[in-house]
This record gives sequence, structure tokens and C-alpha cells, in this order.
Amino acid sequence: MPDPWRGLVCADWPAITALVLAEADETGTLDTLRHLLASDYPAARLQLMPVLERPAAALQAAVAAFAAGDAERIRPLLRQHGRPGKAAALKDATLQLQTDFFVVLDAADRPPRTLLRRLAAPFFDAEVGCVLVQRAAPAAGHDVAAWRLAALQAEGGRPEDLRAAHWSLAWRLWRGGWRRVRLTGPACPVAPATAARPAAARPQPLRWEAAP
Amino acid sequence: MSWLALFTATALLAVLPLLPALAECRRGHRAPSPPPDDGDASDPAHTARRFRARLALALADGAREISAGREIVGLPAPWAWPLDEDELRQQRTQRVWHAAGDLMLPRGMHFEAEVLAEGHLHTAPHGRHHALWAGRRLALAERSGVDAWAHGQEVEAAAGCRLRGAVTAERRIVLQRDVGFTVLHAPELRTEPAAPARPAPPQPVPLPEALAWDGRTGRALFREPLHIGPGHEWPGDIVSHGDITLGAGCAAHGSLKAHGELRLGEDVVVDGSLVAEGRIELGAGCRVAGPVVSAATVVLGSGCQVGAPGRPTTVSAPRIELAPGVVVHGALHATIDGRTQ
Repeated sequence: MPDPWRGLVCADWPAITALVLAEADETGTLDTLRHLLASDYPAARLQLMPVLERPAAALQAAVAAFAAGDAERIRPLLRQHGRPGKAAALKDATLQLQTDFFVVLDAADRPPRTLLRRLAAPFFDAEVGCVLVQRAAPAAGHDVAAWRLAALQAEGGRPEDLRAAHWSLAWRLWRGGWRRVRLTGPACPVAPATAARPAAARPQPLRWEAAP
Repeated sequence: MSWLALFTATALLAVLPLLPALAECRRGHRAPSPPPDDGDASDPAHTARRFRARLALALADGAREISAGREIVGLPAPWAWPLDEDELRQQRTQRVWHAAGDLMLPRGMHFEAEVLAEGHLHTAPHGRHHALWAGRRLALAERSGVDAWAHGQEVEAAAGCRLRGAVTAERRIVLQRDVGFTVLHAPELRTEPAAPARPAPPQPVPLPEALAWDGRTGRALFREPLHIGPGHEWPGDIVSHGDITLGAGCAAHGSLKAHGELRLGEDVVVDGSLVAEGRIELGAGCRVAGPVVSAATVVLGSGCQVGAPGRPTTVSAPRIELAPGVVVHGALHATIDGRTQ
């Protein structure tokens, strides 16, 4: 069955939150936030939540200054305590969501302007629990995924010690009667490694969702 | 005998991966049209607007040609057509035509390039056109065709038109009987003649039987076909692994998803979306607020309304059939064949 959601050009789009896992590179993080703000998703339906997991002072200051420019839509989550690791940070972030759907991206992603609509469209299907972007080059490392919060919570929420990728969470949802949708193609290109990963930065795990 | 069993097992294994393709062939599906590129994803009028802007720039610069060396011809009056001998003999033109006011296209010509009018634009019956742009009303005469795109403040397509490209309007698109289309986009899409007014259905009552609602997710999941009698209402989403059939006058305060077919009786109201892997059929007078998406066919009955003014939505399926009196606010996207009855 061809992707029936490509034809969905207008709709009463649901409110979504884009969680951006910020890394040590403040330039790349801000660039990702700018890409999201420039997307064609209705501005009133989009919130951004940069997730700062024990960040460097420069990154924290840069994100705070950027968020101050649009405090209604950008609400950073700062984690200095609790269990360390990206999985735990994501779990904390999902507990603070004010929207029914959320997207998880990495600070190295440069989402094209149509990506959020493509991720949100399948959720008009009441059976869809998550939407995964399949990359053209799997070696790029992590994936981008969108989630229906109610489905995730019904299946136990995000574990904070998950050592696996999005697909294992999607598998859990599928066992609970939720469908997963895979979007194929280079829908979310990753920035060049030189731009996103300064030499001093800690190398990114193969699966970014894995605990350190 | 063992070699025969081995041969049979190998043949079965070889054929097994081909079964989905064979099933698709049996259903007679054609390859869908290519999806719009990312520039078109949220604005089907993107191509028309972009060409209009490029032409305006070219005219402002005093250019006499536009991309690919196509000549731009300005028309002083709606009826004055300086066609050359070759064009008249071959009954086709590859020049870009532009008028500052209204324009009436001549009979018997095939316009293989863009035609733009700042005022009203009227095509001739049986005319073929690559692309049309009207600053005001675009009237497509009987059995005329559009291959790439057409755009106007208002667009009217007479009976028998074939709209193979995207047709968009700032205000309204009106379709007469037997119009073929692929992509239509406007704040209001209407098929004529208008449907007669329907009496208001009786107020629905809550479902007497308790559906298996999941309180955490607000949805009910059925592993078998679901039939709900007339005149009921319920809150939340319904998902069925079979068909879903709703009786007349039902009110769904949520979305519906069927792995099979989805059939709505007359005057059903749905606040959410309709999604089915099979055919979706709406009876007369139904109202749906959200998207209607099928992997097969969508049939909208007489007097149906999809979307609302200021809350546009999309009907998307390989095949779409519209009865007279249908109103859609937003977009119709038929990847294989859309048609008015």
C-alpha cells in the first residue's frame, strides 16, 4: 500500500512537541531548533522542548537565550539531577508534555520543513501509536520517531533504562494493539559530522537512545 | 517421490513472496501518480504561484521569453489572437500567452504552454491546456482538459472536463457532472447540482451496550466486524479489524478506523477522521470534520460535507467518487482517479 498520508495537504493538525536531545555542540542544537521553527507545521500547534542532560555551561546559556526569544513555544528541560542518561532524560521530558503527540530528534538532525507534517499525518489513524523515519543510510546512527503519548503511557511509558532503539518501543506498542508506520526515504538528513560533532565532544553512541 | 516433494516445496517457496504482487494485479490497481515534491506538500498551488511570480518578473524586466526559450505573447484584447500560420495549421501553440484583462480561448487549439489572464479566463469546449492561471474566475468549458495545473480565484469545471493536473482556487471550485480529477484544493469544493435540504435527524442517544473502551486511551478495539444501529452516539475512537457499519443518524465524537470497509448511513456525524484499508462509503447528508483516507475508494453521497469553513481537511484515496451536492473544505487527492457522478 503506497503512503496514503502524502496526499494529506490540509487538516486540523494536532498539537505536537518536538523533543530535541541537546548535545555539547550549542551551534548544532540551535540550528536544529531553527530548522524546526522554520517548518511548515502550524506555529500555534508546535512546541519545542530542548532536553539538556547535564549540559555544559555554554550550551545551557545558548539555549536559554534562544528560548527567551520565543518563550511561549520553546520550553527547555534542564536535568542536573536524577538518573543520568538520555533514556532517563526522555522519560522525564514525556512526563512534562502538554500535547498528545511528540517527536524525538537529536541535535544533529536538520529536519526538512515538511517533516513534522509527515510525522503527524498518520496519527489521524486512531490505530497508529508511533511513526518511525527509516533512513536511507542506516549507518547514520539514530532514527527520528513520533509518538502518541496515550499509547505509550498505556503500554507502560518510557523506561528510563532502555538500552534499545525506537523499534523496540514500537514493538511494545504493537503488542498492545497499536500500529507503527514507517516513513522511508531521506526525510531527515543528518548534518555533516564535522559540523555536529566537534573533536572535543564525546562520540555519539550508535543508538542515541541507549543509556551511557 | 522425494524429489517431487522437494521440487514442490521449492516452487512454493519461490512463489510465496510474489503473492502480494499477484493479489495487487488481480485487484487491477494501477501504479499511483507520483507524490508531490516537498515544495508542494503543504501548498498544491505552489507550482502555479511560482510560475505566476516568474512571469511577473520577466514582464517587469521587459523580457520576451521565459524558461526554455518559450516566447511570451501579450494579448491586447480577449478575442485578438495573433496565431501564426504554423500554429493555425497544426492547431497547437507552444507559446506562453498573457492578457492584462479577460481572455477567451479560441476553439480547436491545443495550448501546450501556460495561458494567463489577469481577469476572467474562459476556455473553449474540448480544448486541451497545459496550464491555466486566472486572476479572477477560471471557467473550463465542457470536455476541456488540464494537463499540469490550473489556478484561479474561482474555478468552474463544466461537465466532462478532465483535470489531470492540480486545480486550485483561492475561494471555490465548482464541479459539474462527470468531471475527472486528481488533485483539487480550495477553501470550498462543491459538486453541482446542489443537494436538496434534508430534515434534521433525531437527536442520537448513547449506545446502550457497553463498548470495550480503554479508559487510558479513549478508544475501543474490535477484532471482528462492527455494526452499530441507527441513532446512537459515543465518545472516543473506534478501531475494527474488520468492517465498520454505522446506521443512519449516528454521531461519533471521535475517529473511526477499519481494516476492511467503512460504511456510514445517512446523516451520520463524525467529529474526527475516517480511515480504512477498504472502501469508505458515506450516505447522504453525512458530515465529517477530519480527514477521510482510504487505501481503495472513497464515495461521498449526496449532500455530504467534509471539513468546515476555516477548518479545512483532506479526502485522500486512489479513487474518489463524488455525488451531486457534496461540499469539501480543503483538498481532494485521488492518486488514480477522481470523478463526479
